Amino acid sequence: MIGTPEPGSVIDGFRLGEMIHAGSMATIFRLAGAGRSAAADHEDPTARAGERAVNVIGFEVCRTVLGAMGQGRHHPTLVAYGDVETTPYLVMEFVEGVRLGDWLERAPMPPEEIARLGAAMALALVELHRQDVVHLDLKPTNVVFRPGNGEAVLIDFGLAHHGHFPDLLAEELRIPVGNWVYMAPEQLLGVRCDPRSDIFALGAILYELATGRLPFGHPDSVAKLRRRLYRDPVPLRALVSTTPEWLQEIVLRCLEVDARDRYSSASEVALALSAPAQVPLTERGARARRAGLLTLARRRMRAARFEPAPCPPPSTQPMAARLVAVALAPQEENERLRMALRGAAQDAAAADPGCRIACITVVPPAAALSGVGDENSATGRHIRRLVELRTWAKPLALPEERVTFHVLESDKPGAALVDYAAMNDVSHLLLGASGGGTLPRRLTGVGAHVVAAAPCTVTVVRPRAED
Amino acid sequence: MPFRPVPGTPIPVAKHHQWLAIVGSAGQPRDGNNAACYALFDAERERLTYFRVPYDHSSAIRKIRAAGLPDRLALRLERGS
Repeated sequence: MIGTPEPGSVIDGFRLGEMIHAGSMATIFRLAGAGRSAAADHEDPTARAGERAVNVIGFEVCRTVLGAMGQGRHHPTLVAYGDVETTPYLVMEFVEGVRLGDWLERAPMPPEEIARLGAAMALALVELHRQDVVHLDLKPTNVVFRPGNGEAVLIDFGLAHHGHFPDLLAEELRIPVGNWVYMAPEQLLGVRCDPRSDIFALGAILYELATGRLPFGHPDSVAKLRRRLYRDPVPLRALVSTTPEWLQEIVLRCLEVDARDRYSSASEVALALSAPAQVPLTERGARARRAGLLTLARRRMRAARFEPAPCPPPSTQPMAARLVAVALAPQEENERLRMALRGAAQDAAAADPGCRIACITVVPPAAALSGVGDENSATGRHIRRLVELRTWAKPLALPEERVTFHVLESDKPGAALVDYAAMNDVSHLLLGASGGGTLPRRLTGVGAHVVAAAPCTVTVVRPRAED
Repeated sequence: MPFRPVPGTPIPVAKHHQWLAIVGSAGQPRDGNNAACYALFDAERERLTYFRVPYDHSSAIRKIRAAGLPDRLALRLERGS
């Protein structure tokens, strides 16, 4: 373990500077000048260390989620991290700016300012949710506004959920984790995959900014926490009479018990907050008091059997990487055509850095060969073709996982290519137009068939005419 | 909520946790996806990555029917469920 970190300690080459926060989950230091070469110049990374078991999970979650999100404007960049068992630390971007928590004493704030801050937070959520990340611990102390452009940066991803990874917190913790003041009803029941939980927390924050009060108070027991399943908050206008109806409409809609009754996405919230005049007003906006006793009693009965809404499907579907296939004639001796094809493949690889390149050649089936020695055995021939393909692809300098090599056996090269394209969901097929090489006629026929029958875009590559 | 891996996205599987990974195979899909499944485990980097690979399931279906096996086996390969 690291022991007790203090200013001046060195962890993996990072020298700790001033301590800026000592909490139950972590201690946060600024990094002193040396050893921060990994971070960009304007960033002052901070390090944090945790001890308890739950902190360890929070540490892993934070590392996984921030690591997967890479760089972005709305979350701190993860710069480095240590091993969870020996040196649990994270080095991340120190976000300069004002924490929303420091502005709470200014509540009630003017509606226009709430709309501006709210829209900035909603846009930050859009960015998270787009990547299948749900923050789940949105609260004023976890929001920093950058000076200048006023962009919101969300910090502390220790309780976040990332749809691409197993949820360690869901697996290992049995009590509702997160800040009880801002927590959405479905989180009480252990739902951790609904981006609309963040919309609820955003609504609770906006309520606080607009009224100076918390929509559901400070629950100190799970029983009190459950009240938000049936007890609606006091309408904002009943507390601050100057609150415009559009703001009350937006906030109360964010705070709906059933996630399906809230805004369906953070972008809708951002849109509403940036165009208040266009917010369609309903009964919510004009509401003057909380629900009556009778309604409350009915809701309370219903709350006992509260079924959280199912999580919406992930926004980033498990999408296979685009596959670009390049067909090379066996023993293609036309060097200019080989180069032209390579150029086209290079362009395709550069245009879509996520795509894979499949290099294909079609040879006659083994059975078609007769009376051949080892030199010409099917295996030997197959390997030679593979070597040819590798040699051709080498100058592309693609990493191993982005390029594959295939020798297809068929005496109908065109049909074999079309089948391959269909079966492997090829999105783009590059084909050489032979204008002189060794197999002009055959290729021409192949090309015509492939262009007509392939279930994808086909590009016929031709070397430039010689000058 | 069961966790569903995203093909190609490495999952950190730290060794201080216990993991049960159901990798799947070619043949008895239940998740509505008729592609074959496999996974790579990188013990050194503590990462597990799932992959899905489309294969020629229609010829497998033809063979099942030709062999006189129950039709539901053929349909399962096609629908993946």
